[in-house]
Amino acid sequence: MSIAGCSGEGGGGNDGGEGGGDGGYLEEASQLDWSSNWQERLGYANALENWPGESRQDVAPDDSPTDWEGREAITSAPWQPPEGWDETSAADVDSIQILNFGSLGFDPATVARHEMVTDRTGIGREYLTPEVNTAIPKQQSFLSAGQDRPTMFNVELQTFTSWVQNGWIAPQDPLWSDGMWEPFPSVVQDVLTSDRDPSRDGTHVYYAPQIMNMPVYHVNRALLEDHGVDPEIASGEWTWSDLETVMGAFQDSDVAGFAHHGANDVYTLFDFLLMVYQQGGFIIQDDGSVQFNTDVGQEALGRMVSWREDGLTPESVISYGQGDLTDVFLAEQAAIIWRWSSFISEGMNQLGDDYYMAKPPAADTGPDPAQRALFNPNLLAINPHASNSEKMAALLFADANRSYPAQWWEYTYEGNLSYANRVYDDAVELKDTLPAWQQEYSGAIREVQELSSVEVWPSMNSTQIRTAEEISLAISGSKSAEKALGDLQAYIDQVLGQ
Amino acid sequence: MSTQSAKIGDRIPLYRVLRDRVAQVVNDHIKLVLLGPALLALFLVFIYPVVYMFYQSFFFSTLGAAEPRFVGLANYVTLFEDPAFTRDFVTTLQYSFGSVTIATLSGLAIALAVKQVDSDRLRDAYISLIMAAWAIPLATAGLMWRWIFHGQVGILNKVLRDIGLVSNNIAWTADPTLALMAVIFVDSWVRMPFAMIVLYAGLQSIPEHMYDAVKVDGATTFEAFRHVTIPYLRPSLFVAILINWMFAWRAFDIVFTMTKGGPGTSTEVLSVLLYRQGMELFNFGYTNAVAVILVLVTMVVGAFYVKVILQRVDEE
Repeated sequence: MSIAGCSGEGGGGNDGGEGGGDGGYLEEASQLDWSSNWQERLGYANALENWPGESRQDVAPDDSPTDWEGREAITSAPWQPPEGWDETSAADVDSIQILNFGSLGFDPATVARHEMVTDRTGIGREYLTPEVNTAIPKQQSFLSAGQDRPTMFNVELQTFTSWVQNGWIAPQDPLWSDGMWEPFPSVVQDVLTSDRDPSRDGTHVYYAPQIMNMPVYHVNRALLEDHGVDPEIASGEWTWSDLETVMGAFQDSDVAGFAHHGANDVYTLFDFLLMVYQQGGFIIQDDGSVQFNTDVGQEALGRMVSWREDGLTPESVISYGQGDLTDVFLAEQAAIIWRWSSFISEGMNQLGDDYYMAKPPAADTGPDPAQRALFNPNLLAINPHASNSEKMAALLFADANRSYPAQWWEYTYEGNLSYANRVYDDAVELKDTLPAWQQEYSGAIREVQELSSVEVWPSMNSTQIRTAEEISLAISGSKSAEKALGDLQAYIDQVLGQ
Repeated sequence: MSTQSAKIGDRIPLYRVLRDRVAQVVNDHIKLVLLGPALLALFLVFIYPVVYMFYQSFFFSTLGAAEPRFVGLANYVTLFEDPAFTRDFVTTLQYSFGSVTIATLSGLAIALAVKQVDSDRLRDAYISLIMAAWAIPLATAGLMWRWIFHGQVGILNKVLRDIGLVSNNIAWTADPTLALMAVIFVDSWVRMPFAMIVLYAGLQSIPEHMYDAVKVDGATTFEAFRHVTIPYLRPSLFVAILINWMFAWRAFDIVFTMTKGGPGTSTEVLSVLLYRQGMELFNFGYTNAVAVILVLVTMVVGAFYVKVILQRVDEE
């Protein structure tokens, strides 16, 4: 797992924290002992012994994924708030408001860890669940207006730096001390910290780990077989050439061999990035500049354009945005798509033995082709305008987010990646207790994860939106790939002042 | 029965004095009292926001900028030099006039057809069914038609193939021209019921003896339509066209839910541009400038329409 970024050097979190306008929140938070005995308190010490497999079994049922209250998995989960929390202002809080991207039915692991906090502290939750496309404008709205609610909210990758740059995220420095980053890959510290807050000097911790998405490829072997293609073509090592073989076999059919996003939507950007990374390229160059108009970028976009021009991808691809590929795949109108790893269980349930998960294809060109994917992290932030007591309460939720049980549920129940490495090792140990899809694919997911990366740069939101637009224009034939990337690069150079 | 009346020297209770004074003020300013709350609401929800929007359009304001910075007409200069704005302006013209044309013509045709139905109950049933389309929220209608037009799993393609009109699926929302036609069609579909009901009401007001008179003169059905129906319908047509156009000009829901302005930017109308600039790129000053243009065009066209067309209608 790796990260590249030009948002500032990642550094250690600071104990306590300075900065104006905190009204004593950081001072009060610093008085709690978050770090002593953290391995036991957060559940990382002797996890298998302290939380045996049988205790983890009583989870919310599939048909009611948010029904976690009172379950043994919650009551036995090894997380405790720091000692003395009930003598802080957090004890006066009855409930806090949390903004979650989308319905909680799609985030049951989130509900589980929140229920764990409620079980230990009595602090309740009230949820706002806007759809992700409207959630970002909503966040911008309440943060810029200085509203004190919601107290906690998800933050997507493209707004990480923007919100910090505006001073709209409360720091979480007291949670972290040296050594506490140990359960997580080094990239996590880089992702959670920033030095871009104009009201503070130095690097501070602004986020808690929430969700880590990673795309994998989903295959319908029956459709492949029906069209004369080796149904196992995507198993193991495969390349873009194999993918084009699949697409060619479906060319005269109403069903697509492979479908990707092409609408003016941020998911179209992910398709582009996947193809860049699969060639071994990057967006952030060695000199720190952000470059889309590179050889690997031209190759990636050129391929997408030529696939559509040659009829290898359906014309409809230009209208596919977030969510469309899963609909098309489940309707058996596409043999191969990519989607987050959390889709695996749904694919298996719908298609049964006709379904299998594949690692991404490697490019058949480029400086270092490999079967790479990307990470799409989602983090938890605290509203700086909330009252001190609610911020203290939110800090308890942030603390629970990085705990072993929270990361366990993210991976084993919801199918997202875990931020904590330990979870994967324990999942192998407890393989027999896991859902069928994880027993089958955990190893492959881990292999993809080791090759994948995430890049973060300033003003990411506006550059991502413009990137999706230019890619969409090129795929639709309104512009050539060269012009689209040229125009895009000119815009990025202007925005970033590079 | 006894009466009490105030005599000189009697003390009048304070509440009666106040009550009488208030009653006097209300009587003297009765128009303001009755209209005041409505005017205040209008000011708060319309006039003040529009004026503030106009004011904000002279500032550079974006995410990350410390304070909004006065830049005069710079946002408007950027806007008129931006090919994206010109492109979207043209698209919006095509969208709004296309939608209004289809909605008005189809609304008129349906109103004329419904008027021919003899049974009151059946006529009311038809009207209710047609008005049901108007009751659907625009975003819902957009999503519904998005699925109908879906290139691979949409029911429209299935029906067309089943009846043999096409042999391959048509990517309705993937082709720039077809996508624009599709969103115009859907917009006209949601606006047609309003046109229909307004025109139907207009048809009801046409005196029957006028048709009798022209029939006596030997006029054909078409001539009766041309020389009786249309002239009498002009006020209703005026209302239906103007109001539908004003809504179509500012339409967002249909386009955003169906195509999000795609494929590429072929269906991006000004309201979608406004959303992108404001809600995604946080370029607030520029967004307000776009909004000002939207409002100004609406006002100018509306004023022209009222002044010129309505005057002509009144004269006739």
